[in-house]
Amino acid sequence: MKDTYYRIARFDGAVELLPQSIRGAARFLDERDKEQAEELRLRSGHIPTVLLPSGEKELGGGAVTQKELHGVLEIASGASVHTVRECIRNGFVTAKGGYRIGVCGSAILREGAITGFRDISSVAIRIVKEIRGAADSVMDQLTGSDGSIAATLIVSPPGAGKTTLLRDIIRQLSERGVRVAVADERGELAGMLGGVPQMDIGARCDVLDGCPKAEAVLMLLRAMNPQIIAVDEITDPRDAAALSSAVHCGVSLLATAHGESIADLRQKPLYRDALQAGLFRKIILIRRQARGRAYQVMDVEAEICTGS
Amino acid sequence: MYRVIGALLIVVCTAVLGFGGVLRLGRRVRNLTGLVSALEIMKGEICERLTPMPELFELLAGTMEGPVAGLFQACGEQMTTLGESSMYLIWKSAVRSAEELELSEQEARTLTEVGHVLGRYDAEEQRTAISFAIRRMEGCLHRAEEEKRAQTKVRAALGVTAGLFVVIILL
Repeated sequence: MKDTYYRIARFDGAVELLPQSIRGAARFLDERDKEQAEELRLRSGHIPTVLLPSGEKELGGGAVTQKELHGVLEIASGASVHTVRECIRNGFVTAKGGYRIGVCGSAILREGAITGFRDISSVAIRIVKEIRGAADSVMDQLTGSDGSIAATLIVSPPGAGKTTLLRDIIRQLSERGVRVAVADERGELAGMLGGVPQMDIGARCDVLDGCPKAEAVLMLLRAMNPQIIAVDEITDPRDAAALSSAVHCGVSLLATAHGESIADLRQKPLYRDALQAGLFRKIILIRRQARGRAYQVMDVEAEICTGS
Repeated sequence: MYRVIGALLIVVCTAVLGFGGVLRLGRRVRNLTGLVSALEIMKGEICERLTPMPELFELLAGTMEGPVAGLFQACGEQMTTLGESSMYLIWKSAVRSAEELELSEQEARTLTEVGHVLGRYDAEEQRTAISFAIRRMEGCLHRAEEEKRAQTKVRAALGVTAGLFVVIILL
């Protein structure tokens, strides 16, 4: 029941990011849909929708206007576009409460780099949910007999809960007194706003957000003396190279990667090389079930190195 | 005896009216000086530190004094209504409601126009608009200082003289 209240409260928080003209339609959604809502989606000229596990559902009301789309950005940024300009260039803005607003439209290019959007065609408000205790069932399996944490790669298809699990592992380690440095390029792990994490990641976390992962990892390594470095979604060989440097400095890693299965990971050179180089000792595979998620913890040595 | 007291009262009253006008000119100069300083701070905070608007309003409400601080405090308090209102409307409403600033129509319009860009564009675009507003407000400040210089003695003397004139007529 407590979880239901939390989920509905998170939805209501996301509704506050909508312009007044759209809020009414969102508030009329039934409670079950509010609980399951993953995103609110606004597209210029179309009825706003809510993304549910079963697909998108129209919220009702009128078609979304350009003014309303700009209104979302104004609310999310606290009427401070200059502050979030760098984030907008990357296509998203983090709002109070850790909500992430993805932005899409006609990009303005200067010297080959996106500097902003001339027209906004759609926005997606992602309703990020913290699940305290999500990592309870895996923490023991990641902890060695001497209390050390095994370098771990969390693997799942998009939307299966990699970030949620990683965030809770970070929180639990941080609360145990472990110094965790978080390279939060897209602001999804900590949701920093005004220097304050909007998500509960524990008291002993150092967060570097809005910075490319490869650079952030090296900066954290030099500046914060971390015991563990956590990054969300390794997608680039430079990320793996930076993580390799961290491992050589004696720092353990927590990271996530898109993948359906171990076989899928073996087929992707980036992950295969990272695993074979010994950057990770454990893999957590997440599977969606009818109710909740199942976590399967595996040894890298057994699954990848011997399997290849 | 009553005549003397009455005459004195009349002179004092008209003198107070004259000096009231002088004080008003002083307040206007003080307010305009404060507004120019506040705009300079805004420019620096927005362009160099990329300070978000709610934080900037809070900073200025705490740093500035009197009616100028009141203007930014009113803006800060209204920032929670974003979604129902826009940044421009919040700013415009705060400027138009700040009667204690004793702004002329031109000064109020100059300030209101800044609201069109505040928090809406890149820092550099806001710098251009705020710099333009600063130049115009500095012009208004110079005119207010000139007016104060020219009018202070005149108004004070007029107040006393008018009193004396009334007294002479009544006597």
